[in-house]
Amino acid sequence: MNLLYRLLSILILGGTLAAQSGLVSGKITDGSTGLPLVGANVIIKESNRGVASDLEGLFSMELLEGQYEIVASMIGYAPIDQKVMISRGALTRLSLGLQPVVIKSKQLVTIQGNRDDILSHLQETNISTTEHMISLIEGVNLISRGSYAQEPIIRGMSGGRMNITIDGMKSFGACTDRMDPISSYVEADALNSIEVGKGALSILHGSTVGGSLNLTFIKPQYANIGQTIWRIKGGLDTRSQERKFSFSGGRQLPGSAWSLNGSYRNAGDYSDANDEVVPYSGFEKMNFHLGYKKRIDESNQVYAELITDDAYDIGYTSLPMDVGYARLRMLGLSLHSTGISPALLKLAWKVYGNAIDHWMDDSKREDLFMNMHMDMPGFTRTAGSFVDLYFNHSQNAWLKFRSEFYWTSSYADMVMYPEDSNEMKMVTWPAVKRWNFGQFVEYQRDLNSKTQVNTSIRYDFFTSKATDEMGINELHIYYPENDLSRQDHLFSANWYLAYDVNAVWQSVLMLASGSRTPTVSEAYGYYLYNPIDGYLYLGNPDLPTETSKQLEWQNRLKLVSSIINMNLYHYQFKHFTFGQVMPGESLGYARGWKKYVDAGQAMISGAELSVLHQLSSHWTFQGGLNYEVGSLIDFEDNLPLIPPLEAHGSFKFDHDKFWIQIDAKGASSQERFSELSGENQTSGYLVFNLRGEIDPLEGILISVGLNNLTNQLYYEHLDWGDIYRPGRSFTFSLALDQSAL
Amino acid sequence: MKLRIFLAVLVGSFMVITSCADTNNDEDQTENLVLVGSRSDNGLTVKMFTDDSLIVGLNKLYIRLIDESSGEMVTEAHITHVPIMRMATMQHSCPVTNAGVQANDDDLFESELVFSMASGMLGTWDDTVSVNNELAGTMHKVVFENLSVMETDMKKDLVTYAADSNQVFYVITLNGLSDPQVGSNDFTLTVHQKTSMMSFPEAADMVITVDPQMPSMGHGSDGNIDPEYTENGKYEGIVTFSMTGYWTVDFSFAQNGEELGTVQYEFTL
Repeated sequence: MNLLYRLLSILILGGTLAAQSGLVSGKITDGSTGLPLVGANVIIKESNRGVASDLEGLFSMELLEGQYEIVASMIGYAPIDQKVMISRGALTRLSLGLQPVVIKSKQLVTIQGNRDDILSHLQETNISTTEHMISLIEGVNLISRGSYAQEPIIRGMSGGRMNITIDGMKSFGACTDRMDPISSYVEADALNSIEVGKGALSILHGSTVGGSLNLTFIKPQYANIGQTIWRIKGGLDTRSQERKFSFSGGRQLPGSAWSLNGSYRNAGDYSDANDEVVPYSGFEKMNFHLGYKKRIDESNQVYAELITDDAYDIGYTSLPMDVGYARLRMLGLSLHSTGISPALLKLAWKVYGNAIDHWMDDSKREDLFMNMHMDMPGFTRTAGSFVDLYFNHSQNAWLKFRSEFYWTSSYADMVMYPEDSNEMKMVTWPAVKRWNFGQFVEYQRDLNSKTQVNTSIRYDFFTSKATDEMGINELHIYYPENDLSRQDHLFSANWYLAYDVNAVWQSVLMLASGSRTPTVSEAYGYYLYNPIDGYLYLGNPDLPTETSKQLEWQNRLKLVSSIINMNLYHYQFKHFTFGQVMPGESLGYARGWKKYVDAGQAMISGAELSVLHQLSSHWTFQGGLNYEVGSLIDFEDNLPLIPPLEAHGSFKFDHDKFWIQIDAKGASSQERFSELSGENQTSGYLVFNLRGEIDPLEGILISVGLNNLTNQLYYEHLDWGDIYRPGRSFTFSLALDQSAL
Repeated sequence: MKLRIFLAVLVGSFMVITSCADTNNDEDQTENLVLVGSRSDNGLTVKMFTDDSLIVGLNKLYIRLIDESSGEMVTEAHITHVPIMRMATMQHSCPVTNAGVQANDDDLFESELVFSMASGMLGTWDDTVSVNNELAGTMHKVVFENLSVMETDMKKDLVTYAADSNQVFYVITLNGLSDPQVGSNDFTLTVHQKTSMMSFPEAADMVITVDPQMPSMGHGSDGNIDPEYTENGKYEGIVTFSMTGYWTVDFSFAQNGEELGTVQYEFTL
């Protein structure tokens, strides 16, 4: 009876809620930057009711009058408790600035020139890799050659068509087979954000046709009272027996701070859904990031960072060789000044240098390619500097400048050891020295309260030349009269107009014109074997500048509990660089030679849809759909590396102390493959994963994952060599931080 | 530091002394040529130079004539080389292309000899040089004995059979590949037919193909240019080596549409 009475009274009270309630609303911001936090949880302790902050960091809730304790939290930030008094019919306003904690498990993704904020809602477990997080971004995929260091590809454009930078610093992979994309040198535990630019919509980091990916490291933070923070983490994966240990720590003081992130990963060969071991898929890797920040005075601070990465015995299943070691050393020094004058808001100056050494060999292989051992060492050295200036042009307009310079040198060779004869050596990258000067300007202006325009332009000058004598002699076989140097003048520009059609619908029209210089392989490569099409590739120093025209229409609907983004895009290329078969006979181990040529016109068109929907205070749905087609018009073929129709969706349950998420990812079969590139049709697939995290005690975080729940046997269209992905696996990690003690 | 200066002075003075010694006989050290020998006959000094050393294969021999009475160089004369290999049981000559009547800008008469074997236990080379100085109306003959001809493996014999079942010998030499490099290499083949032990006329109507191969890789290289006839039994072409290692280079010969055969050279780069 008592129970029934209580239930009834709740129903009655519910009916009269409006009359007896008040409203609480507020804004949640990052306490260190003042920027709004999207998707932060706001929970009423007394009722366990909660909402998430929207794109502007705003939230509001209707509550019965009374006193409540409100908890605002977001992973990566220290939660805030605040007591509020709700009066009948009154509006209570709150402003909550969350302080970031150095150690984040939530990764922020920002899309430059794309305004896609749904991604910032992505929450990944402690076990995720950098590559996995990159692949969650709409329109970004991975080219997989093994279980390690997958190469990011934006809307079907990879390699030289896009720029990958680390904290804005240029560096270039030292592997002629692209086994060391720069993204492989940033470990997930030290990753702060992934900034993505699609196509020429972002040209801050260089002229491009395909886009840019800037990975930023977690930086040390100041604290008002000196404190030492640390976190240790251990994890494992049952499929690959990957063991992972990481350490993050630092000392935070009012005027200076340092941080150290280190990780060690060791994985064996994984097995596919049929429990077949995928040979040569293990690796061992060690990564460190050391950062030091010091405040010189009120408006000036310096920042220094040192990054080292050492990987050993990295298996590449789909290639005839593995990597003995891959090594990066990177140093960056920067000066940041703010409030220099009323007009010049910010100045940042950075100098950097890095060295990458890469050694491919087949010493671990039993079946030797061509029945002989071979080594393929390579290295790159890069040094550069850039200056950023931010100007406040007027109340509603700003200007940004970047002036940039860098120098880079790339060398690689190959030595084969036949059993019955002398060693055979060739230079595959002839110590190509390249100088770049770039100037970038961006101007943004609010025309009125509904309309905003943004214009960016960039000019790049490149001068490149081959300097290794043997390598020059090799290329002179094919280009006898060529001095093997080239100059490129690149112009890129973009323009967009954003218009708020009404309170919920924003529409953005974007136009871009991109260009790029050929890569070292495309201009100067020699004897580069591609196991996918079975050809040896020859660079072409006379390649023209590849250019693109891009048209994009983005629409965003911001409803009460959902955000929907839809992008339609089209790229039209001129002087598209592509490998063309050269006349000649089969070489036995290779089908012949291909030379990079100007393949004339190409195009890519596609659509991206992403949805974030807050189902209730605990449940969120996030999903997406991508489709694109690409064709090499003059060669009458499809473009290679175009992903098929892809869809993904996840349901997440969020609670105070834990969250759990089930996600599904699927793709249709890809019938529009590139025959000229040696691709073949791939089947569709659908895989499910289950992930979750719980912090049972202060300072303890347990992450679990069940990957490939249904034990699907599958591979993706962009996986080289049709190597199956891992079967069902269980991943686990345990993290402890200083607050646990 | 003092020691270093002392050493520099020492080395410097040594260089002065040696260069002084060099200037004593500048007629013998012309450009980068090496003096083979100097002979005198009937008032004429005949000096023979070569590029580096005499080798099995194509050699350039340079003759300088000095009128002993005037000390002037003779720059117009008919020069004839007759190289003879003297062996225990037999003797033979080798292909020769004699210099023209006019000496070159360095007052040298430039002839070409294709030595077909090295000097050694089997025998030695003599070169008899005859000079017909038509302007002065004098004839001279000198012999350069025991020429030191170094062994190389750049000379091959191509043996074929004529319609009447007679053996036909061709002397083939490959030149310009003594220090082959990865990349493109210019080379010269010489082809002379042996019509007797003393007669080796040039074979100017050969169709030659070049085919470099890497047995360990199972293929050859791109960018080769088959040798084309230039002059005096010489054919010039380009052979490419795409990497270091062991290479074979096959030259196939055809004449009047008939395959004559193939000779193979080996290289390790």
